[in-house]
Amino acid sequence: MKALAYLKGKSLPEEFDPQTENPGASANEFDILVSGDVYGVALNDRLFLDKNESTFNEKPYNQPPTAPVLYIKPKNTWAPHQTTVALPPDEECVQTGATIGVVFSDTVSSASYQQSKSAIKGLTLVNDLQLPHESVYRPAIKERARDQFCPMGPWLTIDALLEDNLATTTLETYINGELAHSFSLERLYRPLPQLISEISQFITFTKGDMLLVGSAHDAPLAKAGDHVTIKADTLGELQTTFSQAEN
Amino acid sequence: MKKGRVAVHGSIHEVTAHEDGLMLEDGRIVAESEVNWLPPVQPETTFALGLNYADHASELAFEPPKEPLVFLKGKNTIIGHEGRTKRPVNATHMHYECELAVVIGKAGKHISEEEAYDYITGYTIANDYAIRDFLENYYRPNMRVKNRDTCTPLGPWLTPKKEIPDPMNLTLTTKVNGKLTQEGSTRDMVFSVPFLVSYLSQFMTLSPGDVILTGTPKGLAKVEAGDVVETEIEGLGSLKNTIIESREEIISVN
Repeated sequence: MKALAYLKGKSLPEEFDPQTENPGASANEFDILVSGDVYGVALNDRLFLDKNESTFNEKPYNQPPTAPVLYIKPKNTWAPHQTTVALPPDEECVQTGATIGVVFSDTVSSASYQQSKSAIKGLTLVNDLQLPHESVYRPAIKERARDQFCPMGPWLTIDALLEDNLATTTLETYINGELAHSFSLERLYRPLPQLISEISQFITFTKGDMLLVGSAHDAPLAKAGDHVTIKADTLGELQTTFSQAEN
Repeated sequence: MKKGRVAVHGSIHEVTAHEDGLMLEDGRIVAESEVNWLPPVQPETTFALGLNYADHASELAFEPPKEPLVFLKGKNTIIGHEGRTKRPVNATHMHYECELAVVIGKAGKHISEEEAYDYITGYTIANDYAIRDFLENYYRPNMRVKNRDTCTPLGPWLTPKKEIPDPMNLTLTTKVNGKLTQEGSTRDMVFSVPFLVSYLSQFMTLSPGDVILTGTPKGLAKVEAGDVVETEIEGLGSLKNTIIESREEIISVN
């Protein structure tokens, strides 16, 4: 098992074995590990889709989505491990969306998953934050694209694409030390291979891009003062703290 | 002075207009026919506005929105002047959208409308193609309609702010194969350029290189493979693009 630690002020990442070494002695040195576009997939939770089928057959949706429902986490949202994220002054809570980010090292265009595998650099934990919102009719820029709403890290694990392509990975979310949520990626409506082949039909992924595989609809809420830790085997622990912004 | 970016003689150059063609940074003159145009800026975050002209909103059978309808675009979709845009072979509803593109030059948050122009470095032209065959009512306009590879030509020039004293009074036109199909004025925007800069900066930090595509006026028309589409904005130039056929993503017919 190998991982790459991107540290602030260093031009090259440092390689280590996450099973035996921990580069986190001075963890606040971790840097962000993407440089291109970060795409997220909404409504990729099978439990939620099954339960709400009737809603999606009504207005304004008229029918369930037939393609991945995508959004972008722009550069202002990117934040490293151990970031303190300020909630807007008038917002009480934020939804913490534990997910896995797939980081690309090369171009993937109109590719099957098998074809794309060599272009995947590695995986990282992502706390895909959003202000809670019911409607998915219009793009949720104000809810999803706030500053620092995409904490990622701590590192990039570079050979963790398991035999089953994440299908049995479980992400645990702890709030103030207590287990608040457990998300098995078996719940993904479109698993990673299908996401890559469908999206790369019309969006070419390039070096430094990242694809988030989707988060649970019932992911927990956090409020100012909370410490949130997301854990998964070999990917480490991604820690985020929340505060309240002043006006 | 207007600046463009081109690939010529094996490298990438910034160019300015010259009576005999284009002038590179070192003074060399090249003919326009020798260069490949690149987007004049490499956008960091690209914002786009839907339904930001009342006449266009009614054309699509919508009321103008009460709050800006904003969506984002990736780097995959941006191409330069005289580029080629892929049209799926059996698409039935692909149309162009001529838009004023505002380029941010200075980082800012909580920018007031009065200060908004201080954060703008200049303007260019965008053609925000849509392929409505892929329209779905989830985060609409969804990315399969609006964020496709090659579907957002940008350019040819980055025109500095000082050369455009009033960006809210510019004529926009589109010609398809030389025939005028779209004509409007930026004065008819629902949400103005300074309003949009201020609005976005209330909840996100804007950074140099961010680009805001400010929406399109009335005058949609379908385009087909082989069509040459020229989107033009007064004072900014003319952005030319050719539609090509793509067999990569076939639209399933129900």
